[in-house]
Amino acid sequence: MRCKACNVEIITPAAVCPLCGGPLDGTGEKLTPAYPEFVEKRKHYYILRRILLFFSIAAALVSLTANLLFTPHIWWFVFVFTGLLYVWAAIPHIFRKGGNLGGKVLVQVACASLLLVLLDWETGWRGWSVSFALPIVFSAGILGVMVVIVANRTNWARYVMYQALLALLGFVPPVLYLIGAANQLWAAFIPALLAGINLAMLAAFGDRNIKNEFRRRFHF
Amino acid sequence: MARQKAWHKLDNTANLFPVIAGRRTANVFRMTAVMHKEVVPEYLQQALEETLPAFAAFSVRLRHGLFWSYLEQNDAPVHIAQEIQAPCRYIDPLETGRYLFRVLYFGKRISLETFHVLTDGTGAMRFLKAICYRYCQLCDAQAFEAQTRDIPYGIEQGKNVSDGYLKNYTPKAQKQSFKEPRAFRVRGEPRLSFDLGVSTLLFPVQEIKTLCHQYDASVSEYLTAALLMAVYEEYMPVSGSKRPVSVFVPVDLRRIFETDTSSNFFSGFSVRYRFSGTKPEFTDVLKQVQEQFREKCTKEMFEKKLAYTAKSALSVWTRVIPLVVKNGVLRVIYEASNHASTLTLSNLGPIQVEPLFEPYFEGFRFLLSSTRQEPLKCSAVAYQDTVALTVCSELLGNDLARNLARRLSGQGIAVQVECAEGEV
Repeated sequence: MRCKACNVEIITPAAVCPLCGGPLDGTGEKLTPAYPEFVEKRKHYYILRRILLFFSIAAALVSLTANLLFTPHIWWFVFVFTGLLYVWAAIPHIFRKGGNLGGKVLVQVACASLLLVLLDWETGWRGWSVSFALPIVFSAGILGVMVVIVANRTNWARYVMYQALLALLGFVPPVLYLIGAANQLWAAFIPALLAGINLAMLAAFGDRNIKNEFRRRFHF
Repeated sequence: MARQKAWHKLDNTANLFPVIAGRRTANVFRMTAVMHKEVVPEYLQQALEETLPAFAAFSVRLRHGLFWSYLEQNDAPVHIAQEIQAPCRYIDPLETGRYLFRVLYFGKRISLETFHVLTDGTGAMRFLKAICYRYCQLCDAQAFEAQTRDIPYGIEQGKNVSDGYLKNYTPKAQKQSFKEPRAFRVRGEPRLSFDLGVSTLLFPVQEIKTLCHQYDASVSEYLTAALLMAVYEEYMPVSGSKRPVSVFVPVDLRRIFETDTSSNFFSGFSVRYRFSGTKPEFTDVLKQVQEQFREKCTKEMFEKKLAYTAKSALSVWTRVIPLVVKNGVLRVIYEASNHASTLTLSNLGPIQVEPLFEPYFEGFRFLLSSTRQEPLKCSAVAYQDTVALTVCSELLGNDLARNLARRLSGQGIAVQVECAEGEV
């Protein structure tokens, strides 16, 4: 088919000139299409997530307004905001498809630690977050990744980076104790002990697979 | 003990792509081989399975370490698919068995869509050709003699995934930062389906060469000038922008440096023209384009660019920053500096096919995905005596393709147009 206005030959089926929309001379009966009729891929519309998002924003606005109107001397809306921020940072990550389970544990540990330190700071910094909360969260993370590894032994290599990073975190509480930020000796040493056990596990059972995985994951 | 998995680092430009890729900026390009006969899916599937292991750049999945991402050997089953969706969509690893490419078929066409992190146009074309060769051998087995029926063709450089950027980095080369002025950005209504519109102009190599000879210019120079004029004529008066129109021209560095890798090894330069109120003569624009080609498309310039990027990638500070932070910084830098070009013209040049297989191929097509900054992308590829110039656009209307087609046909070149059905 020919478009006179553009002076070109159209070699795929078309009702009008695809360039200018003008009429075409000749019939395109024998022409074969170059592309299929595209099936549109729709984006998932997660209705539950949208409802939750709506109510989160609404709750934030209501708490802010109520706080400023009725109790302007105590800023309790900060806690509502912190809670919502945590929920939206941490929860969607758990349900994300295709992520590494070890990575999910690490992200949850990081989010929970930040939340607790933030809450401690907002309530006048009494130090409970670094003395008790962080050691508990880190211990839980280290134990969590160990459970994942024991449950999925054949793919241990897949998790070693997260195992190693969490083990490093385990040594943070003793350091915090030594510099005087934390004041509970026994709480500080539980995560360190768990981290030490993890490193022992790597040293004793780690084979060439694990070594190579380390080399890949930590190359720089 | 199980065999250890092969892996390689991302090459120096590939580091950016995983950071910026998403549904909106796919960074995917498509190469299509148009065969003479209808594609037989079973043979294509077998051809892909047999060819993939020979290409180290493709048989991988993307993983993330603490400091850098890397590509690790992927042993998952690989599948071809019938083409039912718009071209150059974002490649979601979860849908492809973690592979970062797809092989599609439709009618007489075999298409390879590649995420740019794996390789550039030259590397992908090698893979596509190797698949097609094997496919021809399987399809038409009796046409080949015993010694040519089973040996693989076109896999010579498949295992070579060396980083050409770092290999050819000369620490002594003068480092130069390439800060470019903000370029005019084409804006318009998006297409109703939000997918990519494709129009391909087909015209004879000989006719365009004769035409360019009259202007004393190369085909790339002529097309660049034609694109600059087209953007000016179709989009500039509406917006009233005073920014220069800038066409980014990627360059295959394998031709300039002696590294024949199958990973990314390209660079490029921008050709700019600042239009003023009155419409300039085409020859004036072409003259400026030629000057910029002479000045910017030189080995010294690319050495400087290589030195600039390699230096930052090799510095200890860059290397020991955790990947999460590095990606955040890269993203910010990209967003802040991603305004240097209006559109891209990627010219793959003439494609050579093994003489044994020439009777099976009708032609090639080359398509690029668009980005927010560059809603229009232009790409060209030639096979035998036909050039296929493709305009990919996420905007409603085919203004750029029409302008180019009318310019070429106005110069007496016989232009054929190939489009997806039902779009204007």
